[in-house]
Amino acid sequence: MKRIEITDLACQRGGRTLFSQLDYSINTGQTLRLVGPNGCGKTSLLRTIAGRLRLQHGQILYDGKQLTPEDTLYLDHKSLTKDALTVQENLQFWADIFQATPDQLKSAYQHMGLTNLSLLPAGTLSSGQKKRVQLALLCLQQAPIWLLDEPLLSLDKTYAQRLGDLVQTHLGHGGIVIYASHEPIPNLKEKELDISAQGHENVRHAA
Amino acid sequence: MFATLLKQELRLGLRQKSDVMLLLAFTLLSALLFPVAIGPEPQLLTRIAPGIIWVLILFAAHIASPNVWRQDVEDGTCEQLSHNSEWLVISKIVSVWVQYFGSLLLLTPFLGLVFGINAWTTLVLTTSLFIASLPLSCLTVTGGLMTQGNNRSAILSSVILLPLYLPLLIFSCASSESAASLQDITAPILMLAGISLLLCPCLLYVCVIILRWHQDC
Repeated sequence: MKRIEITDLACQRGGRTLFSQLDYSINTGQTLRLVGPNGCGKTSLLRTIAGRLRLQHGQILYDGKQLTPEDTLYLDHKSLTKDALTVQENLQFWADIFQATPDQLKSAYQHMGLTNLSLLPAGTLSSGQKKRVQLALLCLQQAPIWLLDEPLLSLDKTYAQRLGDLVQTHLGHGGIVIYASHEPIPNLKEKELDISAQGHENVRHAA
Repeated sequence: MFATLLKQELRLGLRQKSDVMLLLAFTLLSALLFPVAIGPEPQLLTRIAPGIIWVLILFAAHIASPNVWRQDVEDGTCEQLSHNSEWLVISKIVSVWVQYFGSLLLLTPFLGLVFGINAWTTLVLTTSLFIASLPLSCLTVTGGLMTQGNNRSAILSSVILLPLYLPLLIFSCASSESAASLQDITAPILMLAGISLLLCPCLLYVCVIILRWHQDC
């Protein structure tokens, strides 16, 4: 079984150690929620796994090999949409970038309920609707590891539920999801990792 | 990948035409300031016109630069495409070239008319601009990339990049000068082309390095 193995990971930002000696492993089909107070390093950990922060100490392996940026999809508060373009044009752009099939594009519209919004310029959408456009990218790509930073931000209950379904399907296909959020995504069996307490002995299983 | 990125850039450019329009208006209006400032002396104006037009276009290219990357950095596209940064940079350069320099090149003959330079000199001026437009696009894109990031160092990027404009400026003005005095223009034009060919790949490399370096901030 493929898994992510994090060994002896440490992260410093601005001269301050956020976490150190972090050891953890996540199997395929599992979800990990990162919790902890503001500024404890949730985003930094996600960005390190995504390869957007230089690995300062320790190593991250996926399937026994060095994790590459192509293995992961990282979504944070940045919208990834251009305000001047319509929802459809924005999604088509990312579909082309990720070389998505027409079926994937269709499921992106369906899952995030974007069909009625498709001809609107993204600049006119509410922040929740924009978040849905961004989360629709999850359907368009093939990366096995999803890294989501505050994925529930400004989502309503219905779409939080839909996101839960989406994650569930991805896990069923042998994916891994790591996300940072103060609220759990609905309907998921997940593990929690409190980074402020630095690691493995603080993992508890949530129903 | 490249086709997708370029299509997106050009589509955005078409959707936001005001950027290019404002740039053209800026160039034209500043050109009109010179006769007012220097006084109506056609001979003097005709003599200094190619230099003025060139400097104005350099300024226009420089003013445009902070806008080139802003949207992509703000909405996260830049980071998301970081493992394709080469294509990202190349598509930016081509789109800047088409949008900004395409329209500035079209404007040049009109500027020539404003200053009353003769047809041959205008043609040489436009040709030299055309040759230099590709390295100028690279400079615009590089400058734009430098102004992004933590300290938005617009002035720093001017200080670093303006010296690189100099060789382009020297040889293209030399070619216009030769054209105005009906001398042979081959040498300066070839020098200009050579410098352009040298600058483009170097700047491309610099852009990709800055882009990678941004990731670590």
